Amino acid sequence: MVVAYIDPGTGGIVLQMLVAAVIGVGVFFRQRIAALFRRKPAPSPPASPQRDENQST
Amino acid sequence: MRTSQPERDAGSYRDPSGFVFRYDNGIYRAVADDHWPIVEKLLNSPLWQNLETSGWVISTEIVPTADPVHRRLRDHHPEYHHFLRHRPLERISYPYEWSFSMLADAALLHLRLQRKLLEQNFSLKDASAFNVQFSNAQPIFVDVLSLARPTRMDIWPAYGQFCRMFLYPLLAYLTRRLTPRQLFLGSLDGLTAKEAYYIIGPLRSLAPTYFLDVFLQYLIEKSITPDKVRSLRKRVAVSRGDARAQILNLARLERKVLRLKKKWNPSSSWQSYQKKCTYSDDGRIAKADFVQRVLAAEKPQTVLDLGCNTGHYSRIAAGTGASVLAVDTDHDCIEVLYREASQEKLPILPLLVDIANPTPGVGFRNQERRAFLERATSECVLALALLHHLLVAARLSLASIRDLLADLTKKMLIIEYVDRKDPMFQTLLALRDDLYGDLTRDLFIATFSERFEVIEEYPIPDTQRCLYHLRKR
Repeated sequence: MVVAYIDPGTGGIVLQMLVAAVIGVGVFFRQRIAALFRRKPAPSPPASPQRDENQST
Repeated sequence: MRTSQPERDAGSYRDPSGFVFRYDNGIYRAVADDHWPIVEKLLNSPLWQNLETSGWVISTEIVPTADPVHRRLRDHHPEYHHFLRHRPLERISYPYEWSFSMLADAALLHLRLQRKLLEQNFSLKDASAFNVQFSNAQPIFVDVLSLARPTRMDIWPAYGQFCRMFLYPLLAYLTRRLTPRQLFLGSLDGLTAKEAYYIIGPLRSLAPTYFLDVFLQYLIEKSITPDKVRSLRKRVAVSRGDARAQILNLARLERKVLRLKKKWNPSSSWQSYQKKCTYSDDGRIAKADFVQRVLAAEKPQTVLDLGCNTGHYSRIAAGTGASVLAVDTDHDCIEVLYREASQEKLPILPLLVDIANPTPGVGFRNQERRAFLERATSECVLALALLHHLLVAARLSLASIRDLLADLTKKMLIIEYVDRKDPMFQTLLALRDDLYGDLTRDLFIATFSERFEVIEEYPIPDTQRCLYHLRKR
């Protein structure tokens, strides 16, 4: 039986990786979109800390 | 009294980083060298002090190398160099003896503990309901060696185990009224995703409450092949310091467990028992007075309340300073008593146990989790309004009831004799053969006198019942 070799926690780990990926993508795009809107009122702010967060996602 | 040989806990063998043993009436834990740096760092951190003072984790101290005890422990365990001393707990209980809210509170403790630990880059490497005990009706985490420092922080490797040990049994209780006793005694690892999926039902598991944790997890588990598992190993081991995804998941689970806990209100048929039962007010007050007076005079340190119902007499016992183990076969009674005891932090441990079929020893060699009768002995046993249940419903003989009670008590017994003319006795007999024609108070006394000495006899006014204060011979 194949099932007997698979740790019962595997599904949970894969699920969390998926969720983490979804959240990561969500955060990434939210920051991109937020950044787009923020640019309008303030024309030339220097590099914001949000850039760093983008890199980490 | 000094135990010269350390006695290793039969349930403490899975984790190679250490084990628990009893020595000199204390509870100790040996920690392996490779795991020691993490444990030492954690125990010396303000975080741990914080967790100890808030009662989330068991009080633990490092046995100093200069301590003579350390040298003796080293002699017994030459392969270990580090030892911890834990505060001993009055009683040990297991999840199959808990009520719904007890399991829910143990789940919440895990989630909150994990969130706190993450702040300092620690993490729980497992989520086992057996790592929680209860003290003053509060859950307390007891396994120090479950703490690790993972590299990947955005996932919680113990999430699957958390589901099996906590979330699925809670959902199974809410949807199908399957008690932790029914679920855990069959499998010490709780419910698998597959089992949860079929218990909850394929259609229902699509609902928002179940979709992610039950349906999706089962689906993924079903489609995993050994190849995929091997490639997963590398991915779990990567270093990722951002814990936000995990924190979000923990917060979601915490909200969910809280919601489940609120969703359900116990409705035990026994709850109204005290009100509708055989007693006049005078009778009930007299009974409570007797119990109170005897307990206050004898001052037993530990009391076992058998058939505790919603715990009226357990409270009286707790009021006289005793640590009380209160058991009943009715889940909702235990639930009600736990909720109240938990709110008032009473020294009562309510457990779902059928004394005519007490929890067996289970697990590896039937010793991993000890049998109830080994954990239950007390200085005083209360057997109030119990005798007729054991005689009629459980079909036990007077002599076997006497022997059971004599084995459970170290010193004294307060027992209520219920005559067969009593209306509740008659209710129990309604659809059964009346095999109790010869049951009289004299026979009761004669039988119990073989193992007990009668100290006081007190007929309850307006009833066919009589209270006895007995001392073990």
